[in-house]
Amino acid sequence: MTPPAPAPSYLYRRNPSIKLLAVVLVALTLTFIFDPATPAVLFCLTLLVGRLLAGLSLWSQVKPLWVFVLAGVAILLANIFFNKENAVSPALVYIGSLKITAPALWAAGTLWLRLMAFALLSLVFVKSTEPQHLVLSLVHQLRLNYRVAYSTLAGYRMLPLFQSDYQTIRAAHRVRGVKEGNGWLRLWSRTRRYAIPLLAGAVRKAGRIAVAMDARAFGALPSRTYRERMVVQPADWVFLALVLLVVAAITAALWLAGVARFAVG
Amino acid sequence: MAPGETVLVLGPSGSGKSTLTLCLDGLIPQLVEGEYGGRVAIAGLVVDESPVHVLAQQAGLVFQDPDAQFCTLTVEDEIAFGLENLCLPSADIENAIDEALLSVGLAGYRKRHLATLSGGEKQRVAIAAVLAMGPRVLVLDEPSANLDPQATSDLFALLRSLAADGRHTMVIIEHKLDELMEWVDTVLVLEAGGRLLYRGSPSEAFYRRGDALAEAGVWRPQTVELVKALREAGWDVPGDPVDVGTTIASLAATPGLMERLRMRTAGSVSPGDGRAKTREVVMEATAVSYRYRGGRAGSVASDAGRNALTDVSLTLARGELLALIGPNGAGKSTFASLITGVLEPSRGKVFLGGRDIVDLGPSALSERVGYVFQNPEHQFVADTVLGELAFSLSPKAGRKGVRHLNSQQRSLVEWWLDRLGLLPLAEASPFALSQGQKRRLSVAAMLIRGQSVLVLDEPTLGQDESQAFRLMEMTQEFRSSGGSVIMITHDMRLVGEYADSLLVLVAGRSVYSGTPEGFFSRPEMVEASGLATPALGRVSAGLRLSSGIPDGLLTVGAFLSSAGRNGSGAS
Repeated sequence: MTPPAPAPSYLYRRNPSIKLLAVVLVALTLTFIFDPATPAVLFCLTLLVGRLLAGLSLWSQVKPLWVFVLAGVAILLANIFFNKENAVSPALVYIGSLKITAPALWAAGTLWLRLMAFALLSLVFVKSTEPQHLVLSLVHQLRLNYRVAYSTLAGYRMLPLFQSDYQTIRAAHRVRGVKEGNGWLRLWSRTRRYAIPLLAGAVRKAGRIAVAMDARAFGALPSRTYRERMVVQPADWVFLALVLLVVAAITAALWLAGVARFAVG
Repeated sequence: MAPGETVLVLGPSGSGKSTLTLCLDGLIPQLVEGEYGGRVAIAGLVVDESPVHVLAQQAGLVFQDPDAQFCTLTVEDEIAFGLENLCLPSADIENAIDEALLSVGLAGYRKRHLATLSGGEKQRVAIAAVLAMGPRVLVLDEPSANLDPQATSDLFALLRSLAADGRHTMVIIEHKLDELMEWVDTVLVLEAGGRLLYRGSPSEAFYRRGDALAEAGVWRPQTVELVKALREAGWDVPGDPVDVGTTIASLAATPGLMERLRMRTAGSVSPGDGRAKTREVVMEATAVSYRYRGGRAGSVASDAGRNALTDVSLTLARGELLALIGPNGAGKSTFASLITGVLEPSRGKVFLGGRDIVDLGPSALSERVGYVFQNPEHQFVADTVLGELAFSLSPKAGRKGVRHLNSQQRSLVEWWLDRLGLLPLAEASPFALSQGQKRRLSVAAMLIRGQSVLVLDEPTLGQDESQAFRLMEMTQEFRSSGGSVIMITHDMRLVGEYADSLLVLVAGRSVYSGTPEGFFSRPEMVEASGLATPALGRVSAGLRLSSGIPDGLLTVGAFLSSAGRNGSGAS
């Protein structure tokens, strides 16, 4: 039901807050890049890191990204139809009367590869981090209020329950003889039909968890102790420094080679 | 309550049992809003004046749904959670975790993820988590509600050992009474509206106040019902036995009863006895197997590629009630999904009235087979109670109003509403009904189309005695009009009382198919299947050992028809 626990690895042992910081900094770099090659290189690098330092198979990293491949098609179409440069640029190729221009492909590729790189970064982070450790680290290193942190964790626990409830409700409605319309028009009525029992169940469950937490003195005192403390070790700083160094080196090299382009804003 | 006392709280749905538990550790009135009066004190601490964290060390609460009381992901973190909230130093916490796990028999489970545990193990962790805080009072709100029979027995054995050491006072809300009767000190009965109906010893409660309890809709031990019925039939049963052991002794000491049972039951209880000779087969499943495909959402990775069901067969006759039983995860729900067309078998076929259900198609199938899911809310599709029933007859009417029904359909809907006692609530939301009403509505929505087979998943879960009785009455009526029922349940009492036949699944395979008597008279098989014999079956088996009567008497009715009336002579 719950996703399998991450296996101990180099990345798994890194402090979650530091790891999060690394992901945020790389993502920030990506937002200023405006060429398809740099995000593609960073994407491959992340794949490699995921494989070598987190022990994730390439397939397990790529498979969950299929939604973003769909998004890529949408981005491509949007650019073919609506890119401002289309009118003034020469056509690379015509498909029927549709004019495909280089700027459209360039913009679509850049946007899509950045999206893929963001997604993969997050995925590798999630797959190499124990949720409990993240919560503890957010409290210990980033001074997040423990009440907020633990409530979030309790919410996270409910996600797989939500998913299995959804499956059951779908089957239950099919048995009632509800026709599963697949048109967009039916989407609204279907969403509403599923949402009410799902929410009714979730609200009840959330209430019960809250009572169970209160009953064990959660939030009764202004602070609490921790069985385990998340600490930042020198190795974590080394990791962060390495990440920044490698990313900086790659972007610099690509810029010098005339591949990387930057856009501010 | 005295220190070390074990109190069983009984009462119908909505009588305030759970509310009472929240008062016991000060969550009411301190954190839950409402009007509060009176005085609750634990170990001298008045709950509305003492800080919650102090009270939490005096009273520990365990709830029925394990997934709705955990707040972390691993066993050790879960047990540590309460101790961390009390600001204990980590060295103390480490020790307390080991100690708590040892006391619930889960040493070695420390590093396990909660999601990988069985329901019974989860409840043990929940108990360990409160025990670690060192409470004097343990409050358990239907702790066995989601457990299979074996896990329930194990849990009760654990509670009994915790009660026996005298360090814990216990308050238990439960309706599986027969196993608790041996060691509960006091019974406390609440009636609708939350008033105290009775407080005293179990035998006093069930023998002197039995009628009032029955009227309030409270579950009573099957053994008590048996003794009362025998007394009404003129048998002079000594004592007021409430548990299985003392009942066996009392019945054995009843003048003349054993002789009569030996004489009457000799050879008369045989499989298939009293059942229609010509079986008109309604549904048939032949060597059905099912394998979940890899990556199925909501499944554990190890499920993929493993057979959920292997070569399970079944025949269901007209009017028959078949109980589908087995431990959690044995494939009961998967099998129910296959025979109702929710899933399609990987191998084997299911026939309904001689036709393969795959050829029949989903809409023709749903006209013939109804499937009532465990949680009635999951099956509600309309905005009103009326709409729920109308939807079954015409989906359009369910969505847009009864004007889309013809007059015959409209009177059918009204007839059902009246029968369910829901006429005044016809325009209410189905979600606003009581547990019992929701359940009956979901069954009615399935029966209204005149289906010939009804599959019920845990029909009595969370129902009080009178609600369960009314529900089973509906099923019995359905059967007498020719309907067949397949019932998935962990409630062995229900199985003993209503089932004509059993299909027992263990790890996806059928290990027994036949009469309930045939199954429950083989204790080694019952135990190997992770199930439990209903209380009367155990009485019957005990009498066989002590007095040599043939066993296999599972219901009050079976006992009575064998014993007959005292003094009326053997006829």
